[in-house]
Amino acid sequence: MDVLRVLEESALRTKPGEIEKISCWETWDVGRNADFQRFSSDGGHQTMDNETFARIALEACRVDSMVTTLTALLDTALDIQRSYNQCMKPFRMKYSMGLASLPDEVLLHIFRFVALSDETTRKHAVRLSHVSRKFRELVLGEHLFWVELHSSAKKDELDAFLSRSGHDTDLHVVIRVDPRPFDPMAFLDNCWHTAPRWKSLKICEHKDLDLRFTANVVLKEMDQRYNLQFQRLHKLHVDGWVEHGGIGNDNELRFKPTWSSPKLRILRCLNFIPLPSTSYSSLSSFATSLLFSGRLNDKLRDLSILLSSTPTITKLELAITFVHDDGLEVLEPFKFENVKIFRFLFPSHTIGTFNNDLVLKIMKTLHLPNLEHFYFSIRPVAAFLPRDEDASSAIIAELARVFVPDPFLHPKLTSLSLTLTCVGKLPTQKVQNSQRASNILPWTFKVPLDQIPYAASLSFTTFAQIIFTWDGASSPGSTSSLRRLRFSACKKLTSAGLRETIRSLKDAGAWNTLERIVVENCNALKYDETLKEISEDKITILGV
Amino acid sequence: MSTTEDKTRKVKLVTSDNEEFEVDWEVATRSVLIKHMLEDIGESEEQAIPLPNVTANVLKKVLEWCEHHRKDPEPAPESSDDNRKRTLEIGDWDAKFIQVDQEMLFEIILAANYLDIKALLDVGCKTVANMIKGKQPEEIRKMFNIVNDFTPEEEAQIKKENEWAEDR
Repeated sequence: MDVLRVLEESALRTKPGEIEKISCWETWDVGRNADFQRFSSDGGHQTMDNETFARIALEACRVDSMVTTLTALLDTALDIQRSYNQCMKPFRMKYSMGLASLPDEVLLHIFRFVALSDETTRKHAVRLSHVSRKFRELVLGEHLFWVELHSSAKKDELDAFLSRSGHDTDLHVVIRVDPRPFDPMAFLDNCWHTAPRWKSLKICEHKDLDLRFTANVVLKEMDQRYNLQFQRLHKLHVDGWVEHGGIGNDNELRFKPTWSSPKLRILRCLNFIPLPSTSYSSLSSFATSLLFSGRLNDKLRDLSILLSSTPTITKLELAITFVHDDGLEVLEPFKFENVKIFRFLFPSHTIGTFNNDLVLKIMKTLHLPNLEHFYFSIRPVAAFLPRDEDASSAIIAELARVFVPDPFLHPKLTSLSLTLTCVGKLPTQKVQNSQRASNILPWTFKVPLDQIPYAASLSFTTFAQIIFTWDGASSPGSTSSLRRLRFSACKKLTSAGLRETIRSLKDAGAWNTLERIVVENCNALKYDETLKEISEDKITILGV
Repeated sequence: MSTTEDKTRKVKLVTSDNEEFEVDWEVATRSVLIKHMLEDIGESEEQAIPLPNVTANVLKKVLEWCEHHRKDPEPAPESSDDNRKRTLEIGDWDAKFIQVDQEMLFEIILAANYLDIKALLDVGCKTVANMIKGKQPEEIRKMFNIVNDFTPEEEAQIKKENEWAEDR
């Protein structure tokens, strides 16, 4: 039975070329052990010692047994194959005719969905091109499938990709800094002449690499060795670990390009903030992801230097992961005057008052006087969420204070987005508040509209119940500017929950002036029930 | 931009097998082809739009989709940045809608292509793409009854290319 299970298992994993290898005797233990030529040619006249004969006889029995097993397997597999073919034949014919009926442009449209829906375009494109001559002709003719150059490619592969990508198509280059299997510099030697066509460049390293060979080192080498002219480069993404255990001077490790990249708009750096450079003079967006383990002032200072030397950056994304919670130094105030869009992310947050306080302190230290759009995303680790309802309400209220930043520091803020989702499964809550209707979510996120009087657009992706409030005393005489409200992928949002949100909007005096609610991919929401509650002119429901 | 008058207007469509459908203007104009034809014929409400490439049973299905999506915003034009990205996700309603037999699936794709309903064409193409994705060439051939028609020279090249497809 074991052999049957192994056969069934391996049938799912057989790679191209493996069947050919099976046909080679040397692949078999029983095939390579015996010296058949020596003993089969002389008709038994040659002497064979008893030990050799016993071994060969044993192997021969082993082969007999294998043949018997394989014959039985083959007979049964053929029977099963016949049944499958019989069962599939009519349907396969329909698919076959259907596929044949499609014009080439529709077939290519399907191929684009197959190949461009994830990062492994190369794998899908190559596989599609191996199906038939028609498939190959279509796939090889589509430049988009061959524009990603990967540092793991050998020269023949690289040449094929370049010729299939057309003469002038934008190229996207991915360099993996891991000299053991692939030398990135050898790859660059083969393709640096195409640099004027590079639209994006991603360079990433393994965090356990030694300091002599990091993403920053490869970039320095590239810059010195080749006369790089990136006429089209739009996006540069560097996953580099500058702080290798705190050894050495960060500035020496950080890369400062001298190349020309007049169209560079987006710079994304994982784990470090780059030194200012004229190569960045056209940037409009900078994103970084930092592991916070102390020295936050230093990092924010580096960020401040980059931003003040590159005034074209109006979009900032800052993702922070706390590693140690051994306290936060007193933060200096940092003013980022040119930033209009700020994305503040905590991708894996150990929720709790202490860490929430850190988030709030960081937010308060950043002065963004021209901020127009604020996107706050926090993903608490489910295991750290309190089960007690009062405690959880307090925690969520703390986060709400970050989401609604000080209106005096950000007077131009007109659009806010909140993503509050969970890493892991939400815990079941111990309900204490018997007043709360059973169909309302236990997690309540209160949005004080009086604190964001100029916000015209609010967007939420959350497991929490959104409730709006308006404190007339804090801003007498003024009214909410809210016009557009969006709930996207709020998996727990029910019709009753939405009703509560609307009731709170009415109580806050923001309902009548609200122009549109968009509800998108909120699968717990009942479409018809919701339409009964809200006039069709005011709501758009998508993806239901 | 549609006017209030447009929203109450009815449109007559005639299929290749001579069946007539009367539908709301908002539903019919999910099809760019029909929308342009209506613009060409102007205000004439009586004039039916002939659809010689669509049969009644297929049009019925297509109109079911248009009815459900009548309020959807116009699809945004593809930007060059998005050119390299596609998603294979299909909404719950669309996924149920497209659970049809193989003949109807391809009829819907062809009709969506002819009527120029991009979002519906995408639903059909994504369904076929989901069947293809992750499969080895031999499995794709088997699924769609495709003959391996490569010459020995092409086979040799393909053998060489196989390692390109491996994850590295």
